[in-house]
Amino acid sequence: MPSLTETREMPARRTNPNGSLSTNHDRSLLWIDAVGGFLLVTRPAVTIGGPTGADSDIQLLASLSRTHATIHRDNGHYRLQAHAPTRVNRQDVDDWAELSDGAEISLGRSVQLDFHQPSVLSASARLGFQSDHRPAQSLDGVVLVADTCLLGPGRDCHVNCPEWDDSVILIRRDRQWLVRSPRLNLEINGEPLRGEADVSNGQIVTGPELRFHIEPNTPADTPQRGRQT
Amino acid sequence: MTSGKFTFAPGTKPLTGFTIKRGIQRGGFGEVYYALSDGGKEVALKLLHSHVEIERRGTELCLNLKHQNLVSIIDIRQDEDDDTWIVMEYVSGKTLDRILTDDFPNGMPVDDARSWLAGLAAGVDYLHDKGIVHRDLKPQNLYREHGQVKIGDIGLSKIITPSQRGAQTESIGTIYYMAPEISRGEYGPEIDVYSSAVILYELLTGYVPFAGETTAEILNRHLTDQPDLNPLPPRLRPVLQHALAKDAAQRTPSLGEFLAEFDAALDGQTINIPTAPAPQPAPQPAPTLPGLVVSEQQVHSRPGKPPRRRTQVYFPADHLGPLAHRNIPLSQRGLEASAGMAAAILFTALLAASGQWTGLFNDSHSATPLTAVAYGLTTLLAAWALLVGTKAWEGTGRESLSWRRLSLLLLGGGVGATGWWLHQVLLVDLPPLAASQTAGLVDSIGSMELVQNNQPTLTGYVMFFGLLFGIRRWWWHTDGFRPKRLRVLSLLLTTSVSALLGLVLQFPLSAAIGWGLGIAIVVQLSAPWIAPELRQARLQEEGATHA
Repeated sequence: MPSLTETREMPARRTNPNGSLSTNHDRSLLWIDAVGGFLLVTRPAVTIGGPTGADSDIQLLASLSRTHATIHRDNGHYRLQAHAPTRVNRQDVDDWAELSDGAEISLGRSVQLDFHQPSVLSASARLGFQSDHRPAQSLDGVVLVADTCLLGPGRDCHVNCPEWDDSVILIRRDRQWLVRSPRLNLEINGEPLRGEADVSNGQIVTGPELRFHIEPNTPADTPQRGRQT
Repeated sequence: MTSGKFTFAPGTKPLTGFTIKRGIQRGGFGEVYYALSDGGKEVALKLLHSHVEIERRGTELCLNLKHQNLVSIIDIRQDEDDDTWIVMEYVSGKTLDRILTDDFPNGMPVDDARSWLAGLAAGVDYLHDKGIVHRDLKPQNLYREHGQVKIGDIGLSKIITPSQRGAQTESIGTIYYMAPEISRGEYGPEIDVYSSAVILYELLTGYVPFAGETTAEILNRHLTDQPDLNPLPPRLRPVLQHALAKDAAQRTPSLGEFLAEFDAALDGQTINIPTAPAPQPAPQPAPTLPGLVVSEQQVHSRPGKPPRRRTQVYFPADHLGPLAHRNIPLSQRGLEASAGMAAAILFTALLAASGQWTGLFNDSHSATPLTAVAYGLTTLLAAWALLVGTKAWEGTGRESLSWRRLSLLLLGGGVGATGWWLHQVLLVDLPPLAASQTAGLVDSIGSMELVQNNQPTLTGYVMFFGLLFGIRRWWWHTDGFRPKRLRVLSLLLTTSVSALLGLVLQFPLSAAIGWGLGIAIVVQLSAPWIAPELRQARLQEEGATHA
């Protein structure tokens, strides 16, 4: 019988409607002090569904089909493919619908999401929870990450951090999460950041009035008690 | 709310059975974390830093209270270092404070405010029925989850019985919501009614009724000032007046009755409210008040960097001035800009037809039709550029001086270049430079001359209009919420600036003054203006449109 640690290191296999495999490399959790928790999904086709199936990339505690809808990203443009009753901007979607910044998505009878693509410099987009339906954990949003994810106080950021002095950029490259900031002095696990650094494995990023970390979307490792230095 | 530096890092397990995921909030009595139990249950863990005994005692009393509008307390635990932790229900979503800041900076519709008041009243009445006073009701402690209002942070609550009134010796609350009698150490349930009334006032207007730049000033206002009820809908004014009474005995006795009066007022019923008592004498400054522990840090949640909404709080008049945060729809901006441009044609034509003004541009002091056309068209172009260019900034609630000045500088440069071209095409000269003006402070920019043949060059025009645009805060001249439609002082200042620029840049003085004055008059007369008494209604309307 494999140990718990070995089990966690195995990618969690899941199948999407197109038949390809989704692994935990595609989904991470971003925890930001005083801001919230966010699911980062990097696949170009992201499925949304209810809790009864394990097939969806975004599994909501809601009365939805196992795979209710799929959001496709293609050259920075987003389209929604409906597999069950879905509305976009209050219009029924028979098959496909274009998603533009500010689009309102209704899934089934009660799930309300909003779609934002806040930055013209990034193809990434954000899904917000307008109704009270969320994944099993009370996350505050989902970022559909194409290449970068901007965190900061500006309206062009994918995750709004109103108290921060400036923006931080998360870069998705070669299955790694790299962090960079043009103006903030950041530390990674207490070491000063120079240029970019990989923070894929739960490294804690700190800076003036900010702290966050990224972890794979799997059960957490057994933590150790310890105060931050 | 502040992130600050949290004691425990994500992934650590300071309390057996719970793994910290992130910090939620720091300040007041401690720090709060979002954590998961080993079984996956979400909780909020509150580590007590100071006033541990006060909060621990208060929390123990509330440990077994159950109400749909109260954030449940699950347990009180000690860690291995004997630190005290309160394990609480985790409530997702924004606090009411954040909702106000993000979505309703100028106040929310009455129905929305009513639903918050209803949840607040149900939860607080339950607490009062159990003999407990919350003492720290404020938007930062209120949430809404699954449509249900949740009241958090009841750790400050304590048993209040008639015999124990005044027994409290120490208090930390948030000064904006603090009832006057707290300064005398009185903590009856009426203080929750008062705080709720302050919250309701803020929900309806976007700002608190008693603001100030220091703790002492705010406290003084709670004790002596009558709230300005004019921004509220008229039928709700008696209800708020009753609940904000200085004398606790004269105040609405319970949250339930406060809600009943609110509903009755909305139904158009007349509310029979006792007459407000005379203001009490002003107290000493806050730090010397007996039984009151407050600090300036509580006024600014982050010292030196007050949150945006608090900026309104310190200067209440600004919420109806050019710095007001407004949700102006794009269509409205377009409509107002178009109306301003149309009005500018009329006012420029009137001005150009005025011999006295166009005479400024002609050395013979007798304007020809062509000079009037050339000067009028340049003035109109400048006014249009300002009316349209500044429209995007209106109602943003922020004023980035450097960015705005740079934008206007470039815009003015463009207007100057076009004005120069117009004068070349129409073959209209400006008055020649007076002998006294031939020695300006600046006569060239690099190798580019400002004057040739006694006339400003293209560079001269670009510099004059660019600086005229960049120096003055033209967005104040065009804002619908500017203090007056036409301010004479502002005209004089603009005229002085243009005269100074004329002297420095060797731009013919009479033309400089003529354009500065003309543009200022046309811009102010043309830009749409909303009378002060109509502004509150406009804000509500824009808020509703936005929502």
